[in-house]
Amino acid sequence: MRAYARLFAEVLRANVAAVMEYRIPFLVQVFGMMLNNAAFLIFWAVLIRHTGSIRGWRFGDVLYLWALGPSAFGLAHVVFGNARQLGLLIVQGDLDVYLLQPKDPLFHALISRTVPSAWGDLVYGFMLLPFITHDPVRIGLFALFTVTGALVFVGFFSLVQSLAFWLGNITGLANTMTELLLNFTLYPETVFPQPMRWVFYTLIPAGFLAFLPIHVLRTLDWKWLPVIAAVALGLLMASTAVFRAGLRRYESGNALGGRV
Amino acid sequence: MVFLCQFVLSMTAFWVEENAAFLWIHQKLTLVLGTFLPLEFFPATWRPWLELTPYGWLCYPPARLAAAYDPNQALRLLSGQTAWVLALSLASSLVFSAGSQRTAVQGG
Repeated sequence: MRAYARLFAEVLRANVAAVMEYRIPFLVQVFGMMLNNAAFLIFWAVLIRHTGSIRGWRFGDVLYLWALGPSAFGLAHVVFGNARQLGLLIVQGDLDVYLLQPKDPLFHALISRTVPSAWGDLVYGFMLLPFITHDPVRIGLFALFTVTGALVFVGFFSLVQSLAFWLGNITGLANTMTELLLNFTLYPETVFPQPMRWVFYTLIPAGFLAFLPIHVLRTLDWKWLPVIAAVALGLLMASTAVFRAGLRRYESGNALGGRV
Repeated sequence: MVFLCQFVLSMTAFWVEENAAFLWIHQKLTLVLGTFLPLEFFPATWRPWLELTPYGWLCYPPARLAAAYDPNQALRLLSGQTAWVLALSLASSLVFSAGSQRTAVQGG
């Protein structure tokens, strides 16, 4: 465990050093992503100004959505930047470099990249927080749900991308699943008809990523906390199991690669 | 107008190595200002300012015209869009000529 923590810290440090090599493009992407997210707040502010609230969701609640969604998505891609590249690594036979090293190949592959614009998402979520709450308990919970949300994102992406072992190039399917999860996460749950909400707690886990955590943040209903944590860890374990099962079907691309 | 806006923004690549962020913001503003929301939804004080940007002419006015035709509005829209096309064409040619002077061709 300690060896994994050390590897994680070293790779993160190397990833940060790599993006800081191109400092201006990095900063343009970070601030660009923050402005990009802010554009949607204009939409919600203007809409709710007309409607008052949307089926019980006021602007403050929507702010929670737009803080938690981007910060969890951001953390997932800052730390596990290869989560949405995994299918490509599998199909192109580029996993050799991770298979030849002593650590778990899925963990090593996932952490080997950071996405510059995701840093903007992560910072943006926490920048919105003072406009929503000053309660230290809720701020702590928000940080915790950013971590569980990031794990749900990574578990879901890894699971879908690992299907490439069986289905080959699944870029189209993976992109669709990503868009579905992301879009459902960024709209109030109540705008969706009741009969379809079961999807958010089964196929597309937006409920455990945003809706349940926001319910806990609004009401401090602690009983859901272990459920959210268990689902995040369960999804991660499921994705690891699927990846390991798929690995038996893996074929090398015979490309030369190295990790320094 | 859509092409010219994207063309001008894309040419920022002459100056910055990573310009995708400018296009993200442009796409989101296009969506929010007049595609997701009618311009009438915005505060009255915003509207003259919106008309000073391409977003005030891109999506919502043509859609509104299709839904409720008014010859005066059609003429206003046509002249507004023509003015923007001319302004953006001029801007794109200025940006291209300024940017191309910075290009060092390495052969190949």
